Amino acid sequence: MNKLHILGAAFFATLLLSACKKEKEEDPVTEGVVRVQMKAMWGDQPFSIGSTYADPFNRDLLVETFRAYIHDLHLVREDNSTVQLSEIALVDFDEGLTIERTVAAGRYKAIGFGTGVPESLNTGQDPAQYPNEHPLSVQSSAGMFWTWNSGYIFVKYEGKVTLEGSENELTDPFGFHIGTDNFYRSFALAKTFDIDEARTDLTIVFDVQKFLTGSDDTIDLSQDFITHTMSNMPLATRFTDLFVDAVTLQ
Amino acid sequence: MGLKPIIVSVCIAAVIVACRPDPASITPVPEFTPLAIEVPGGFPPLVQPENNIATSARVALGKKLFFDPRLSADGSVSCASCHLPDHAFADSEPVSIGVEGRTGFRNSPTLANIAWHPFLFMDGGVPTLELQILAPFDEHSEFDFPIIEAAELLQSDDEIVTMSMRAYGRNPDPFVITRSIAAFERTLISANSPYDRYLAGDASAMTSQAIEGMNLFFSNEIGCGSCHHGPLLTNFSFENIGLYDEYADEGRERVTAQPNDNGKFKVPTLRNVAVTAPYMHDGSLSDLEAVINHFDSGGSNHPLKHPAVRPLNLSANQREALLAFLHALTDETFINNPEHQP
Repeated sequence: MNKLHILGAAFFATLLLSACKKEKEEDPVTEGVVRVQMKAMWGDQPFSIGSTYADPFNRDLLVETFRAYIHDLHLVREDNSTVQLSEIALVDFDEGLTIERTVAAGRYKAIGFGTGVPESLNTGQDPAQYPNEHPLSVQSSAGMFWTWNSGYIFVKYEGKVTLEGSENELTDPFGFHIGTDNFYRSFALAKTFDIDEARTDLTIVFDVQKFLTGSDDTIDLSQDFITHTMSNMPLATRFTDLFVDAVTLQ
Repeated sequence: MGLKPIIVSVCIAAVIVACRPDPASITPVPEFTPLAIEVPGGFPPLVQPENNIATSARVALGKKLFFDPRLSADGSVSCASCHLPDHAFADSEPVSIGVEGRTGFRNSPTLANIAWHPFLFMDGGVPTLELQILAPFDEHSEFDFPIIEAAELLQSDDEIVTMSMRAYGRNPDPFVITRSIAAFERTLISANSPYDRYLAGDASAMTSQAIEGMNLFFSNEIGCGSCHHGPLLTNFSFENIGLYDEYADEGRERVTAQPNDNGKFKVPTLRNVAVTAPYMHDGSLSDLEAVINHFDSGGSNHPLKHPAVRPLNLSANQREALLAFLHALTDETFINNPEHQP
């Protein structure tokens, strides 16, 4: 073994180590974790089923149900391609929804979803075809499917209110049962964010306080307190318009 | 010493008994051979869902469940409570009566030839028989019993479990309940009335009075046949027949929210109509004479009333003839079919 061999070996070893180091330094982040939370709030207050709030006319209002189908929750990349996080979920907003997924790294510009069940899964479809754990199954959709007019209830918001002249408090019912294909609503909430090695957190807030009042309309529960969509289409439309404006991305 | 053979014998017997399969644990082999359902001449083809082609096993299970009151909350009401075989699978109440005597809001329709209905319920809100079967479970005035709970109850019935495995290869669940009852209902075919036999060439099948009534019925003079025609004696349109000036039950508007559908109901088949009294969506007309009176009077002045409903000025003979024709639509072999009994 002469000096030349030793020097040569040392040189190649250094080169190899250097090459490996460089490769490691340039190894790009290919994916990252995104956590999407959907939750309800009452203005700035936390929201919970069974709690009492004040309606737009300062009447006591007890919320007993707020559930909705969330369809095609997805992220939108800069090039407008999309990454689906969830196909369909039934969200009880007493608990909200948290979805965590590993997705491709890179820059994103929006998060999108629909409230309701798309026509392809709604019209004439049979809940009995799904296994119990599926959000559209007979078991999961109990109370969220019209058996007399086959179709899912997309959004159900109901409770009780104390109207003027009521003998007892919180006994006057209200209910907004929104469904049928025309009431499916799509949301695209813009926000630029990068998916990288750190977890990305996105929170979608449904402000329940705004379900009955907005910039252009206020629903007076002493007059307009019930719709099963077909039974009062104008009220279903008003509620849905307010509902759409109540959704934000934080 | 003398005990040894006995002990050995007991042990062998115990092993043999232990090795015998528990009858309840035997999984029956599903029977998927399609049932040949005879479609009467002149009827449209019978279309069945791909995932619920009728088989003997499915129809047998569906029939059993159709008559099973355990499907209701208090175990008192079955499908057959409002759909009685001897009433052509309708009943004799103005509106259906469900658990705890709760009354519904519409008259129970006949299930004869229900396989050919393009939509179910008088307002047409449900597109398939399988979906329709979910409704009574959900209705407060019918079964008022979650179908999931009904399925759980059936899962403890070995006979039903065995039938379910044979029919669908799975335990009783909402899929099995809705499919099997629908499969049974598709076999409720009625096409052997005197009217059918007359049309088939038996001139003696109908009386001369009934023939006179038939000719009047289908004439332009009174126009009944504009809606009640074809082998099913309905065109399945939704019509307002001027029963009221204002309808408490909005009819098809209930599911479409279209004001133009107010007071419109699915045109019913008239097959076996003589055994399905009372009549109309709310059972408000007690007999066929009252129905004829209604159409003879021209009905109310509802703006959506069908134009064929107008004063007819029928003679007494014409009324009698129409009545005779309506009675000639009764299929005795259907309403007395022992296969349709529990």
